[in-house]
Amino acid sequence: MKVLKAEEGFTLIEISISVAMLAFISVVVIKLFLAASNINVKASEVDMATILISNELEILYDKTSLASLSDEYIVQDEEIVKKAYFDDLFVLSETGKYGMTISMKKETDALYKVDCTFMKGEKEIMSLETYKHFKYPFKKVGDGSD
Amino acid sequence: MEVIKEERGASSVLVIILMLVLIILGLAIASTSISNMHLSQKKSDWLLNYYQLIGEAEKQLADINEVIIEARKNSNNDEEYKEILNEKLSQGSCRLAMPYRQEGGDCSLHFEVNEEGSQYKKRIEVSLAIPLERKAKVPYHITKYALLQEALLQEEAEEFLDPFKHMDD
Repeated sequence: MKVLKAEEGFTLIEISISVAMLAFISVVVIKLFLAASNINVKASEVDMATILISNELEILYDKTSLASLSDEYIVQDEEIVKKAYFDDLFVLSETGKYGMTISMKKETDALYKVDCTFMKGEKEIMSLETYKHFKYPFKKVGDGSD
Repeated sequence: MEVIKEERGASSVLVIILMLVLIILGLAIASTSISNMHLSQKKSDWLLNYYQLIGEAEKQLADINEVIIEARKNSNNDEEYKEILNEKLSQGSCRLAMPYRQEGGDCSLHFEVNEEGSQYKKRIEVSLAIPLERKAKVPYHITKYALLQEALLQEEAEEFLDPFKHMDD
């Protein structure tokens, strides 16, 4: 009880100045934390875009004919296109915040130009351009080629 | 000693220390996040260059495939087919500059694609075996498809691979 009755301690002015200083610095530090968190989110988006595009391209590079492409690839305005959407946790979903588009444009019978883009809404996170050669472009599935 | 015993302004000193700690913590977290972003960007750039390089290799494969298909169309027997192949592929047509030699029933073809402009240049080495029969089922077989990066080449690693180098001295 002596402690409670004691009148020694910091003065009101001291406490007021301290609280004001702490409030000011807290704003700066909280802004830093938020910026760091945003940067981490962006980094994870770039990481996931890298992984998902790489997965898709590796599957594509394994194909030797157009017929062996999965049903997800559809012909659209002289391009063969696949669209996929991912939710906040980058799990495949019907619609989602993130969208990946793989489009293939014919250069020659056996060579296609491949454009991959990974978007967050309207904003592009990653995009890359490469080529894919189909050894047997018109071979039907189950022909027994390789 | 009087300064130390002075109690006025003690709270400000405590607050300033706390502020410093918070600022250092905030800066540390921010710099970690920025490094994380740089790493992700670097990884993504690497992948971008990698697929560009693969794209170049695929273009060359498509060119070779085209030459093979043309040779099949324009020849009547295996000898003619072989001659056309020899002529077209050893000419350096289709942007190819490569040695061409025969090995058994197949001829082998080598080419490489090099990355330009980066510090540790990547390259893809491809070897093909092309059957010399005109009606062969497969136009070519890929016998080697290797991605190599300059920093990881054997010549540089050799310095570390010879622990007995000074044993004779």
